[in-house]
Amino acid sequence: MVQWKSWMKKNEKRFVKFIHKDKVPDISKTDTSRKITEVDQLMDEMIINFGRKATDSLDPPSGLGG
Amino acid sequence: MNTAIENYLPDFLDKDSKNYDKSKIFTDGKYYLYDKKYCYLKARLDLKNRVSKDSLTWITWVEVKADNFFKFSENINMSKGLLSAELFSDLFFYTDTKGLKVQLDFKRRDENFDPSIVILNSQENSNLYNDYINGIEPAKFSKWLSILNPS
Repeated sequence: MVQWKSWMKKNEKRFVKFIHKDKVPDISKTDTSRKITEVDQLMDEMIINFGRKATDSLDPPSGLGG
Repeated sequence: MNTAIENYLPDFLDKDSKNYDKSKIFTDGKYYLYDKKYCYLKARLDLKNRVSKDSLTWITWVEVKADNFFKFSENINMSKGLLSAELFSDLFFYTDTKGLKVQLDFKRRDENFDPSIVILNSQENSNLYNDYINGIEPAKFSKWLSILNPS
């Protein structure tokens, strides 16, 4: 049985931080029920761009090594 | 009322950590590719109180196989916004959840673009799954809140 209070006291600064109710990121405004917006497209672009750049980073530029 | 518990960045992704190895990391500040094999990102799990509208939120790091993340990024519309992942660390209050297989729902995300965690039913996580489906029992919920917000 984990004693959470003591665990928290010991580990708070190392592993977790606590966010009070007025600081919790809101999810209700970005629920699945709403229509696709610029925000959706922005997130898609973030993922797509990271995927492209990350895969590029796996391949060394041609002419180097090998 | 909502309260959240957030895990810090894994130490090997933290520039200030002695375990940080820049040569193994590619990041845009939001998503991390580590050692060419795994991607790491933040995701959130919201569990409601079984009887009230209160909820507890875990904001935690998840691990995704790099190949899966790349396939997802190339076909976001085909994936319906769902991506397989594993919890990178135990969820606070739920022991033995590190490595739990989950799904990330990018269509249900918060204002920081952190996707929601979908808990899958398995024998290893019956307590968590039960709370995910039915909500946290009020007594347990109150006890946990008192731990998180000691007066």
